[in-house]
Amino acid sequence: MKFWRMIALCLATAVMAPSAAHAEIEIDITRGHLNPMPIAIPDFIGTQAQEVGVGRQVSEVIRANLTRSGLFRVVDPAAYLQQVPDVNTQPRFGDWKVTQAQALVIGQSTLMPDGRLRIEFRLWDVFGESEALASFYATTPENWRRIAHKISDALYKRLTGEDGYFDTRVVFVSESGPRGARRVKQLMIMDQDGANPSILPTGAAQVITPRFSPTAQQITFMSFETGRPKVFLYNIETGRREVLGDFQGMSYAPRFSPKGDSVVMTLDLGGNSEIFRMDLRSRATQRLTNNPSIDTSPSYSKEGDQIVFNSDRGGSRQLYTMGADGSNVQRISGGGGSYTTPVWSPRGDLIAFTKQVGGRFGIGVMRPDGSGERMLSDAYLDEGPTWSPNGRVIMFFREARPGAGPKLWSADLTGQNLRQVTTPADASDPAWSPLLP
Amino acid sequence: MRAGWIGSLVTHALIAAATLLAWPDKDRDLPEPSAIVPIDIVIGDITNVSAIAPPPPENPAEEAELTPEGAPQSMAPPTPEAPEAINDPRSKQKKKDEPRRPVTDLNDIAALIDRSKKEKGQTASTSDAETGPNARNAAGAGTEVTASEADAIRSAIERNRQKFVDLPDYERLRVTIQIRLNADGSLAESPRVIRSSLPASDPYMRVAIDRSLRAILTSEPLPVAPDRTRRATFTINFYDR
Repeated sequence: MKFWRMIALCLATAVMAPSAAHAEIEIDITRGHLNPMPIAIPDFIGTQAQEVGVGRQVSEVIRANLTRSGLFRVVDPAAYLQQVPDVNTQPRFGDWKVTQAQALVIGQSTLMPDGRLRIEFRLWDVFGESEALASFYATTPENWRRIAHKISDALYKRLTGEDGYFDTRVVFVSESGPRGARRVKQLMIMDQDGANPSILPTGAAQVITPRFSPTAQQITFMSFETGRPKVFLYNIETGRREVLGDFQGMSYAPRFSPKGDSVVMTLDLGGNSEIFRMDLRSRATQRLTNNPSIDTSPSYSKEGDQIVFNSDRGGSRQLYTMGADGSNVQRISGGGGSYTTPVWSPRGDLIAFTKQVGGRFGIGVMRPDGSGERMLSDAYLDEGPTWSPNGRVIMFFREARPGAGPKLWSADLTGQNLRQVTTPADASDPAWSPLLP
Repeated sequence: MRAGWIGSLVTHALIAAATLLAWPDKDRDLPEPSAIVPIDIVIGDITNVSAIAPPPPENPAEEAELTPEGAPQSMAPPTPEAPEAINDPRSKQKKKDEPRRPVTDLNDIAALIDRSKKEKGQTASTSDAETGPNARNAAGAGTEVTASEADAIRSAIERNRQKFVDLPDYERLRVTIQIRLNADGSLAESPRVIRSSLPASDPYMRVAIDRSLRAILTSEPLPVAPDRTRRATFTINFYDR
């Protein structure tokens, strides 16, 4: 009996010993890097020549979009070891791990019997050896660029957690001709990457401050065509145009509410600029400020319950917030210099602005309570910020030196990814659209 | 004669007026107004179509040597099977036969977390004992895993880890992953997400989980002690201060 007890004891010890030795060790990982994610995007596959051509174009646009975001680094296609023959074929992950790509996008374009173009793609997690996303899009062949932007948005969202901003457009003021009063300023619209630029037939030749509706393909802008500055409403899809209110004095600096159902703007009342709200359905106006100083550049918060604006009521141009009904005005900017053109982020967490200090202008951001101010750019003249619909990128216009024509630039919230946006002519006053439906 | 004078005057007046007008020098470069392309995009989900076609041979050169003379040198791409083949038991059997490490399906992370929560609920006391401060101290207390080994693993993973600080409210994002290492530092099984501070359905949490898993997977094999002879289990917390 003792013998068997000894055997049992020995067995129990043998069983218990490894578990003690295998005690789990806990490791805290709090450091890392913020390098762009390496991603491989081979040309999309096709069978017919047209399919191959479209596939190559679509993948080129996707590569450019993701690279421009600053969050991804497209691995050089020359390093790809495998040519995946079909979108439904699982890639050889070992071949892609060698390239250091962490994500892989395989796509295929097909012309369908009804004449439409179908593009399907799969996103693979190379090191996880699993599929992360798969989808397809179908449209008319001439709309292939939209598909490329849609796929870019889907990839961006899956890999960053944020909504994308690639399937969007930008309206801006295209400037040409001699400087001064005779300079021609027309509205142009283009894809966010500068493709497909075209003049918006607004019927006006002297136009500034276009602003996109956050909910529709509709813009508001200021035009001098009646002799006095007036705010207009323009539907991009129907071409319908109308003056917003027939006021005695000037009206300018319009901006849509988050729901797109009203516009805030500045009206000049005998030399005194005040902020008004206009309901777009009833056209009823409501005065929001009442101060002998200049109050202008209003912009709604994400929820629409607050408005940020600039005013010189304190002696210099500073930023203030107030309730959507004009109540509870509070100054939020506190640094030296003058602050103008505030724009509330679509995410609601930041306000972008133009700041002038010592003859130089820069674009900065601050929290809605004025804290955390940081400058993203600095130049001879940087002005007119507009947010991408996901609140990650800011576009603005820059005059690099006196006399240089204005150009469009973009930067992300870190201020690190500063890039010029190609336009056909000098460009200013960009306005970013919401994601296209 | 008089008509000539009048004609000359009108012509000169027109020329003078033309010089006063502004002729935009870049208008010719601007594209003509164009209609907005109508938006008609159909979006479909093909996630139900499994990429099940067998991968080509690992070493095509060897395969080519086996090809008889006269046969086509280029292998036809494998024909993708029908979508319903995802449920084909043969494909599952094939995967079972492959001597590969189990694949981490990032889309099943939510299920993993739920399962781990249940498991944790059943063995809470054991888990706490193993992963708590006592276990940390055990690193240098004569167990198999030494503190220097844990430090080496931490450094290796940190080199490949993309931080969370660019994600909104990153302070709220915390991921805990359990890994089991072979004696050579390779993963004995897929890393297991055992805790996340937010539901895995949260898009930012999902990104944080992806990044954490990727940091481990790209660091494989992890640096283990040269004299290691047994497997070891680690619990790794990912977060940013």
